[in-house]
Order: sequence, then structure tokens, then C-alpha cells
Amino acid sequence: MSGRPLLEVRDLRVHFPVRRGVFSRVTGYVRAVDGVSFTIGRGETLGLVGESGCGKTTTGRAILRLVEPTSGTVCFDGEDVTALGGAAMRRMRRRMQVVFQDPYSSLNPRLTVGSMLAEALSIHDLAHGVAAQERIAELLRTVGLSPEHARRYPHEFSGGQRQRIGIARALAVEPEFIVLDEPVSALDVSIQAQVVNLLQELQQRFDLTYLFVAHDLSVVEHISTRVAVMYLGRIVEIASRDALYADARHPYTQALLSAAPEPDPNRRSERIVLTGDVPSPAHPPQGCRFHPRCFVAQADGAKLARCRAAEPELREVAPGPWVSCHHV
Amino acid sequence: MSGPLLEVRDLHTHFFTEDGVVRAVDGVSFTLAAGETLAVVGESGSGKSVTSLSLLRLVADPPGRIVSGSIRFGGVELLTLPEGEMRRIRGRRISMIFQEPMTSLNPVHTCGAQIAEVAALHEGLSREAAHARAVEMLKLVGIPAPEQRAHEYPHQLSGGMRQRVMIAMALACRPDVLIADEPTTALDVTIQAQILELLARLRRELGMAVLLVTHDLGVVAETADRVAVMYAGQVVEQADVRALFARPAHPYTAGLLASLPRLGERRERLRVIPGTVPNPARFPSGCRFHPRCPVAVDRCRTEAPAFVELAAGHASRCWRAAEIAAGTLDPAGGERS
Amino acid sequence: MTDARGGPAPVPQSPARRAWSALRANRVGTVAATVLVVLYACAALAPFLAPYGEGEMDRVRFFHPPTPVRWDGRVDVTRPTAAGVNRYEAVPGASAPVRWFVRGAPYRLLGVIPADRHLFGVDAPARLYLFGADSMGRDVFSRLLYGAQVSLTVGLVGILISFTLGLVLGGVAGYLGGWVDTLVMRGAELFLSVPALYLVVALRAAFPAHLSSRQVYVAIVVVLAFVGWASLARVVRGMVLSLRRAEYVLAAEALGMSRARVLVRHILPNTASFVIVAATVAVPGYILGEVFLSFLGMGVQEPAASWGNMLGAARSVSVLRDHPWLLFAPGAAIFVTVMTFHVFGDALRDALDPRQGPGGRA
Repeated sequence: MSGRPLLEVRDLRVHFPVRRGVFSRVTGYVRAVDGVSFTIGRGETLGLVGESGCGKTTTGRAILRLVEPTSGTVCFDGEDVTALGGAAMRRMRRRMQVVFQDPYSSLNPRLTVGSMLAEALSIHDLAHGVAAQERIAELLRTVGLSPEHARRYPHEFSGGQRQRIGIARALAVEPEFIVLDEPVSALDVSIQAQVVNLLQELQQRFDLTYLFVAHDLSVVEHISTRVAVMYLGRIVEIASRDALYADARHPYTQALLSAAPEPDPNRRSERIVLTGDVPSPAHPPQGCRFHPRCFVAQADGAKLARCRAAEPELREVAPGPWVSCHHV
Repeated sequence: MSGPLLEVRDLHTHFFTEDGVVRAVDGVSFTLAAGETLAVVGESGSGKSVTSLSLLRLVADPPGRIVSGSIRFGGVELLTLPEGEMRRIRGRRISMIFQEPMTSLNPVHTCGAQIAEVAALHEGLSREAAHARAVEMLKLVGIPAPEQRAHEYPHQLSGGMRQRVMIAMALACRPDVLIADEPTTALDVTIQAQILELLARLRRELGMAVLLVTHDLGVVAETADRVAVMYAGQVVEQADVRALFARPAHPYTAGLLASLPRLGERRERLRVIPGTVPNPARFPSGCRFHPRCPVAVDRCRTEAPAFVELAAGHASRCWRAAEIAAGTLDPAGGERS
Repeated sequence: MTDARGGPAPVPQSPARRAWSALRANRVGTVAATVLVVLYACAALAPFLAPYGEGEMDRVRFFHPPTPVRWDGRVDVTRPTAAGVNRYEAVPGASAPVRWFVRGAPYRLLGVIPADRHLFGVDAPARLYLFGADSMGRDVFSRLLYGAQVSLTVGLVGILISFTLGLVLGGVAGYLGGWVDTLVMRGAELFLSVPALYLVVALRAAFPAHLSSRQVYVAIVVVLAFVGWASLARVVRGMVLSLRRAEYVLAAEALGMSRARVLVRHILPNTASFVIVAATVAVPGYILGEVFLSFLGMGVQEPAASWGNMLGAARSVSVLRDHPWLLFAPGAAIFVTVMTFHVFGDALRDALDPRQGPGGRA
């Protein structure tokens, strides 16, 4: 990778206040995202994986300022997105788009596909009238639908088709960067592969940069160039895809990879089964957030003491992989 | 062998809606032996969940109704059993756990009370005995501090813990069959691993048969002995789990397996099954998979294929099953030379 | 790679079109809708349908009971008996035929077209009192039709105002949040915490006691709308709060739309199903509100008719005993209207239910 990265996230934090009582007093904060830093180069796909509640979705939304970051910076092509005012931010949105997980709630049920796309075009003055109609037809063909579909309403489509419409809407404004927020998780198995392939084709064709948020490690492996693993609002490991899947360094990454059930009955391996549940992000454990469930720390009292005492920094442990663990 | 524990034959469960008759389950047959795990795999609309609800006669009527078929459990025909006797089977001989542990537990009762209720209902245990059983079950499913947890309400537990409580409830009377409908779909990967391991351990310890309903082929490969693949209301392939993953004999199964990205495997593009899952109110004519099938021939469009056994315990619903079994046809598309 | 097969149905189905066909399939709903259309048509055409004018009196025959129409289509001419007050007997041998399109009191149809024909009537000295006459010998049936003009429209106009208020205030409060939200919602709670009837009376008192009937009408509408907006604003705010986290709303924001546009185009239209149903079942409240005010004598004043003041005229025990038609006629009209609105609202709710989608389930 040469030159400046397209996206540079630095120490991003998103804390949601917890309000209680009649006067909505703030009694604490859910630290959904708590100090996340990474970069994405142009044309790359960064896979962001983790379990529910780890903050991966919030990270994606905070980058687009669909939720306001509490602190930290998000530089897109050298410009700090978090500092932009209303109008400048709206212009910036043309360059950064999003595709959501749930194809049933991500399309406005009261708009036809055509008017939804026309709206996207008109906001940024990209096309009007006949030109817009032609552009809409082209967009629908691009995502594997037909131009006649423009006249229809979302409920007339299957889940896979709706996801294609969501992708067309994101593409309408000719973005450079798209946050894909679990784009295939809600789809049937036989439809997932169609959408994954489509996303890859589009990436090549339009030179797109992706942040691919998912919990499915095998899909992430397939589509990503680099992968970041999140746990309780922090990145625990970030590495190139090949390094991460061949040689996971962080105990959590190892457990995650080993827990994923594989579609091969001959490989029923001994899994690393983590004990306990993911703690609440309102009260993350002291020290290393993973230590209460960590099989490395729990097996060794001396190690555990250190994990309890201090939170490990994300550091480069070898050329390439960055890991946040005291014992790697 | 004294015959299967559970035998389903030509089951038809239809829904009578304003849009017409939805043939959600349309001629499903399978058997389940004592102590075995059978996975029923399918996508949305395949009829797998309705099949499992039909076994306990829990399909909402109206609009649904079991139209025909037979479900024999330990030699007894369940479909003609009076409702009173059916209730004695539900929860005691055949239990069920559901996908959503949040909505499957009653929020106004403690976890312990809910488990105790099942035990008291079916075995007539006293209050104390039922509570003791509840604590015992919570311990069995690996819940730490079971005495204390028994007095907690469902909302105080995490998703994984709730699913354990559900399992404890289902197992309170030591059933012969456990129907698990997507038991781990709502859970995270690391919690899913815990629950799958728990189910495997309980199966070993209690010797019960498990009917696992799922869409996740990874879960199937990890846990099942045999597999029934459902598509559009029918079982299209049934086989031993190894045989199914090694030599799928139905183009749908083959296509599903080929379309999965796998860990440690690098491909430029994923293989896909074209088209979409059919609407259960309007299944295609002939073979229901033919519009999406890469190896469909003219006959597939007009005539529905029968469910044919290709080898011992391996059956497929495909006109070209013989060619596939002989190895002359690649079911995922393209002729083999 | 396309999803060509198993694709969508040939005609695009807008949510409105789907609701419409669902409503038409609902028999009870269709009947209710028809009844409402007939009721409003009656109100609109009141001067034509009524055999007599709104204030047309018969100075001889007060409290005349309903006149039966004989099998031969004629009505008897009646006169007061010597025996008692307000007792009437048929004049032997005198009768008049009920005729269509008779000339009578002049009026302006729909407020514009001058006319003097009435749908039906009888020639004097016979008098056609289908629902009897009141204390001044006015035809109750005719006054019921004129009264419908007030009572039925008060609901619609009132709803229009209060729902516009509620939608805008609730929508803005929910979407913007912060101090705007706090201000609007505390205001709404203030209104909701005062018993509605007291509030109505108190607000009515804020207007001068003696107003022309048109001014009274406006005053009533304003009072009722002012009381009604708060509950709707609260519910709309709740819906907006949940909708603004919907992914299509986020997607709209991500496309760079302004907040106003997101609110107007993506959030508020999706509250429409609820708002329409809520409005329909709220109309009876306004109709009853007018009845209440007029019953207390604070609403529409004689000689103008409204269902409320007609009911108010029938509040003494002696009237109930001797002239029950004065109670039954407006009472039945109110009952039928309120009931029909509720039935229609239920049917609408079913038709607009978003959970009623096509297709099957797993």
C-alpha cells in the first residue's frame, strides 16, 4: 500500500448515555466503541468481525456519522469527517455510503424503487428527468435487476432482491467507500453467495473501498484483504487476511475461529469453547476486557494478574499483525 | 432393531390463507432412531419449522392443518391421538426448544418456577421435589450457581443462559426426543459453540434422540448423524452426514455446499444457486427445484420426481439421481467427462 | 446474475392500493363506509331532503307525534283535540298525498344553487312529521338533517386541525429530540392532565357568550382541536422515535438528505396508517364534544339546529315521558354515526395492518 490511506480512524469512541428515572439523569455510559483506530487503503476491504455488542456496527455508523462519535477523528481522503458542518457533511455523504443488514427494514415501504433511486440522484444533483430514468435503469441492471423493477414497491421483492436494491441505492451517488453492515447475514444460504459475488464484482468495476462488518468469519475471509477483530468496543487484533486466518495471535481470535462450525463432518475438531458470556459494554472488566473468558489468562495465575491489572495496547507484534494482548 | 422411535410418513401440512393453499409441508417422510441426531436442513419457506411443529401437533389451526400422513412415535399414531393424551406426550416424551430464547420463556415467572411447572405437570411432583428437579436441571445444563439462578427472571439472564434454561425446561422430564428448532441461530459464535457442546453432552448422557432443525450446514456437519435436506415443502435428499457432505446426490444440496465460503479456502468467486427461494403459495411445476437447477432437463419441468434410494440410507428426489450416483453427472453443474 | 424467476407480481402494488383492496374485501367495513357516505350525503343535501326549513314553525301543532304515512301514500290532516294540550286527532275525511319534488321553503343547495324544490312533502294544511315535531312545531326530521351539517362536519374539521398540529408537533419533537422534545411533550402532558370536559368548557368560556352560529361553529372546532392534539402528538412522537432508528431512515441520512426532508418524506408517511386509523376513531369524540357543548347550551344556539342542542331540548323528564321522539331521533342519529365510525376504524386498521403481507411463512 502506498501513499495516504483513504480512511483513517483514530481513537474513535462512541459512548451512549444510560438514563434513569423521571428526570432522565445520566447514570452511566455504554461504551459501545471505546478507542478504535485503523486505516483502510483505497480499493481495500477491511473485514470487521466480532460478536453482538462488540461495537462493530456502531463503529461503521460512527464513521458515517449516522451516530455521532463521542471523540476521536475519522479522516476520509485527508479531511476530518467529524469536524464537518451540516452542508459540508451532506456533500461528503456522496462519497461514503452504507448497505444495511436487514433487507426488510432498510427500504422505505412507501416509495417505489424508482423514486427511491431518483431521490438519491436528485439530492446531489446528479441526474434529473429522462437522464435520471436512464441512470436508474442502468443502476438496476448493474445490481442484477431489470429496469422494470423501478415501478415496484419493496414488499414485492424477495430478501436477496431487496439487498440488491439497497446496494443500488448506495451506488446511485457514485461513492468511493461503502460500509457494508452485515449485508448477507439475514439472507438465505443460497442467496448469500449471489450477493457476495455481486459486491466483489462491483468493487472491481467501480474501484470501491469496503468496510465489511460481519460476524461470519468464513464470509469475511472470502471477501476481505485485511481483518480486524473487535471485542467489547476495542480492536483486539488487526492483520492481513492471510496472516490472521493462518496464524491468529490473540486468544479471542483463536477461540472465534475455532468456534465457527465448519461444513465438513470429517473435521469435527476439538474446539476452544470459551466459558461465560460477553460482559455488558456498560461495565467492561478491568484490565484486559477479555480476561474473564480468556483461556490463556485463566490457565496461568501469573498471567492473569497482569491481565487484570492493565489494559493491553494494540501493538505490532510482528511485521503486519497488530495484537492487543500482554502474552503475545 | 425394534424399528425407529419416531416415524413420519408422507406428512402434509397446509395453510389455508386468503391467497390460496400454502403447501408448507408436502409429503415429508423420515425416521428417527433412539439416541440419534437427525438434522432437517432448509432455507426460509422450505417447511422445516412447520414439519417440527407438526410433530407435536402445534401448528396454528386455523390457518394451518395437518392434511394427511402419519406420525408414529414408539408405535403409537400421534395424528389420531386424543388431545388429552397428546398433551401427556408433549414436554414429557417429546420436547421442543425454539430459536428465540427471549420470547420462549415467560417473563413473569422465575426460571426455576417454569422448569418446576413442567416437572410438576407431567410427573405430579410436590412443590419441593419439583423445585429440586429444577435446580438439578439447571445444574445439568451447566448454569453456574443454579440455586440462585432458579430464583431469577428470564430478563436477568443473557441470551446463552436463557437458551440453557429453555433446554433445562425441555429436558425436565427426560424426554425420548428433543426437537431443537434453530437452537443457536440467535446466538453468537462463541455462545453457539457452548450450546452445541452442551446438546452433544446431554445427548450422550441422557441417550435421547435429537431432531435438529437448522439452516446452518456448519452446525449440521458438527452435530448430526443423518441429514434430511428440505426444499419447497419436501425432503429432497436424505443421507448419512458424511455421505451427504462428500457425495451430495441432489443438485440443490450440491449447490448449497458449493456456495458456502469455507475457512481456509481461497476462491475468486463463490459458486451460486441462481434465482430465489420459491414462494410457498406458488411452487413451480414438475420438480420444484428445476427453475434454479443447473442440470435440469425437459422432464424436470413437467414431472415431479420420486424420492429414490440410491444406496443404503441415501435417497434423493431427482430425475438424474442415478447419473449423479454413478458419477457421470456433476450435480453442481456441468457434465463430468 | 439476475433473480428473474419467481419475481414480483405484474402490477406494482402501492401500500395504498393494497389497503384499498383489503378494505373492499372486508364486508363490515364496506357497509360502514357506505353508511358514512350516505350520512354525509344527507348532511350535504339537507335542505333538499328535508321537507321543511330549519326554523320553519307550525304555530298550532307543537309536540306533534310522528305522522304515519298511510298505505295509500297519504297523510291525515290533524288538529289539536279539545281534551288536552298537545294532543292531536285526525280531521275526518281530510288527507293529503305525499308528493315528490314539492315546492317549499327556498334554500341554496350546497350553499350555491338557489332552489325551492324538496324531495318530498305534503300540501298544507296537512303536515308531514316523520320524526314528530318539537316544542315550536318544527319538523324534527328536517332539523336532524340540518343538524347533521354541524355535527358531522365538526368532527372532520376538528380532526383535520388537531391532527395537523399533533403530526407536526409530535414529528418534530420525536425527530429533533432535546429541548424541543421536552417543551412539546411537557406541553402535551399539561393538556392531557386536565380533564377534557373541563378544558372544553373553560376554553369555550374564553370566547364571548353570544356569537353568531357560524362563529360558534368555529369556536367549537377550535376548542375541540385544541384539546385533542396532545394525545396524538404523544403517539406520533413515539412512532417517530422508533422510526428514526429504522435503517431506511439512516440510509436516507447517509445519502445526505436534510433533516426536514427525511422527516417529511421518510418518517411521517410511515406513520400514516396509524394516523388515519386514529383519526377515524377520534371523529366520534369530536361529534360527542359538540353534543356536549350544545347540550350544556354553550354550543350551537337555537334556532340553528345541531344534534347536541336537539338532545339538549329533550332533557326534561316530562319531555321523555310525553314526547320521547325528541330524544330518540337525535340519540339514534348520534348512536349510528359514532358506532359506524368505530366499525369503519376497525376495518381500516385491519386493512392498513402492515403485518398483513402477501406470501407464506416457513
